Amino acid sequence: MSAWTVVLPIILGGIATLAIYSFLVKENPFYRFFEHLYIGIATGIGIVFTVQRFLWPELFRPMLGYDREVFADGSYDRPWRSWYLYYLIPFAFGTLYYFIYSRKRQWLSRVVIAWSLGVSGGYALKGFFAQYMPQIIGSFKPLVCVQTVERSLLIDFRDVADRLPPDAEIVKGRIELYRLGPSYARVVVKDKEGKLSEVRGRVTDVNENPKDGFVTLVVNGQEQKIPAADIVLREDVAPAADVRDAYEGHGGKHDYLAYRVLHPWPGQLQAGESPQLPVRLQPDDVAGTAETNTGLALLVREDVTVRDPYRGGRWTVGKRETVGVKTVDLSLETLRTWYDRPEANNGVELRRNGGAGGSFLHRFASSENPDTARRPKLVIEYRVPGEEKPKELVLQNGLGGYTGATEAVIVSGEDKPAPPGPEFLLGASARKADGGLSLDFWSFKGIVADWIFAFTLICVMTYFLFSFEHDKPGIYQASMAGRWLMMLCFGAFFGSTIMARMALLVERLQFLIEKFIPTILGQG
Amino acid sequence: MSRLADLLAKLDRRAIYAAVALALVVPLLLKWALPPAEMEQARKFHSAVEALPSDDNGIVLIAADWGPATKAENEPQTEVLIEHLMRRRVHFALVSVIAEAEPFLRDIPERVVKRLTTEDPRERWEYGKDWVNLGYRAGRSAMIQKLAAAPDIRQTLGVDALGTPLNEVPCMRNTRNIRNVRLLAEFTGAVGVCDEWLQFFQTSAYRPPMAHGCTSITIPEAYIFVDSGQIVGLHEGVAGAAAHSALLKERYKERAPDTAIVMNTALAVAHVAIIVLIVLGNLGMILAARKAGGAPAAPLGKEGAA
Repeated sequence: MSAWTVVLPIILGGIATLAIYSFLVKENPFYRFFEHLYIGIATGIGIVFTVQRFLWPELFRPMLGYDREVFADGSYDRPWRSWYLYYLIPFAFGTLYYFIYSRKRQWLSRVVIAWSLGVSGGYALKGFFAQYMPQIIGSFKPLVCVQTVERSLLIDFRDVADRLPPDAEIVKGRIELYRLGPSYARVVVKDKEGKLSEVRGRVTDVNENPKDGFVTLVVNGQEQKIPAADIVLREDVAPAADVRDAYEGHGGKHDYLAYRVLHPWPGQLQAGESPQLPVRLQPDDVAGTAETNTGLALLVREDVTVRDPYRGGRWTVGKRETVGVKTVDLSLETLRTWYDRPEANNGVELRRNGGAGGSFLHRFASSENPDTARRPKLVIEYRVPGEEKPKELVLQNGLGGYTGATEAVIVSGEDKPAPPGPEFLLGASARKADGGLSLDFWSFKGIVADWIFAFTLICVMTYFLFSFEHDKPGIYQASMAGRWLMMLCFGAFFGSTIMARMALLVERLQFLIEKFIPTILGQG
Repeated sequence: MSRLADLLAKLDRRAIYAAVALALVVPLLLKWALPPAEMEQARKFHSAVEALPSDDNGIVLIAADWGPATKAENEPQTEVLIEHLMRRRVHFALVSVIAEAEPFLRDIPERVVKRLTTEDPRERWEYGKDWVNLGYRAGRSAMIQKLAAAPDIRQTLGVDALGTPLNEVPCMRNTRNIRNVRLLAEFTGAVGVCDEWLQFFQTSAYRPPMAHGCTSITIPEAYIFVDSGQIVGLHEGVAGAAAHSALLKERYKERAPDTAIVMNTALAVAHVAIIVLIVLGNLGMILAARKAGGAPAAPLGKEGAA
């Protein structure tokens, strides 16, 4: 490629750019010449490309048989297909359009126009449903909306690469987590006569109403509304009497007291504890909340600084999981990345599989659980050159001096260190990082946005509805509001327009500064 | 005060153009790269790319439906996506329904490869293995429907932009039909093109997730598709490309600032200049009205504009 084939387009481009922007000074022939030149070039390119990329390869080439390979003896790889000549029928039909210039035979062009309109109408009808139905459905916005606090867990195993030999070939790997039993609660209720009664059972939902500071526990399907200050969390199971003592010790100021039991599996039950609890610890224990419990997923986090985690490589832990060890296989790609690029090891994230509203509280043993065997464990199988049998690397806090496993809480997209404790909770309405109960709360942002949407819709429609007079009270104000709201929207459109025009100017200035001027000065 | 009012009232519009040009030129000359604002939709676009597996069983289809008229905004968007896909080793195919896009389909990937290999000379990206240029395809909505319904895209399109049969292109080895398109990324400033992909690039059983890059002027229209969930991410003009670029920088620390960041910085400075000029213009109007002893022009009201 000669220097001129590079330099000439740059010089011409620079001159053309300056010519077009000379309009800002005033309308001039220099500007007008280049404007017409642009339009001509654009049309010319369109024609050339249509012939080069469509008419010739798709229509004429196969029709004339030029798409066949010719062998050395002059024969072809396949016979000429005469049916390609049928292409001439729509081709000839299309050329009828040119009869638009004939006064006598103009009707022939109308046949083509009618055909084109019919085809376009068909396309439009097909496209309408694909494009507009989701938008119409999306515009039905709730005027009262509830936002759920999502809490997921980030489990991080550090020093993975350091603990593997430098020439290891990773075969497979898995993470083992210990799922604890579901949360149980006891709620002591004092009736109007001052008599104490007790409700106990599995907690299926925890909701807090920020309006009055009450927490709602759904225990065995019964809703118990308790002041947030009266929720007592316990690490172990206490005899029933303790609950009543705690209530009395609390001063008996309130009518309710919730006593939340965190480890109610059979082995840890204390003497005198109700035999009903172990009975409920069956494998299908989670089934009762299937409408909100949508299972858990383990995700590989490639970068914790990005708030929206990497959604690839999802492994469902299960909808109806039992108490005990849960094994989740990690992909080879993930493990090799952790090995090759230790800085890319940002752990895995355990999160609910979607759904909205209150949810079952999933509980897992943390890296600080007193029982070492229940702590999160990373197992990697690898091979060392020269050895046939694969080896196993097991990383678990407290095992072989390893202390690199940590957990972090992700609440509403924000990473926070997990609160110290033997377990972590996750779900849509789990305990918050500060120890308080997480909640489903009114989404004021959502409510305001949706009300503005509805208000704008009504007002703008009122403005454009001319079937009635706009001077009536209420109608006039709505119509005026519609006009003002539209002006606000047009302002936003105008801002976008300015940005678009500026971007074009920036790009041209960049071209002038980086290419045109250095070329003119002989530095290009 | 009176002198200022006169000055502002008589200010030549060409002086305003010169001020804006100056505000744009200075950051460009200084190669000033301010961190762009975090943009929700660009982050979603980035996440959608992050979620793609890097294997041979599918491709990302990039519809670069733009030409010189919207190059300023659509080029940085396309470039940052191509860079992201190349870094993640996700195969992609470039196609366009706009004839003027042809040279850009060829140049942008090559430019990105050059930049990436300068950054890390050990890495290699090759045409055919990592990406394919399907070129300009005439027919717009008819072509899009043909592509969506094709039992074998390779047979339907035949050859790439260089004339190589698609059956022989390694990265298209396992791409048969629309189900192998893992993401459709559409960049355009032309009216109706995004709509056509949205309407017709689907079958009754499958619609690939779609991300979109639009010019600033069409942002309000594009947000309709965001609200309805029809697109999974959006590049809002140069600002969107710059936000995506910043997310790449967070992960690839050695990455040099690209065009999008520099352009976005110049744009930000120009916006500040325009805001200052608007304030000055209004000040001039108020001062002129006071001088004349009247009130500034009445805002829209009952007797205002129709």
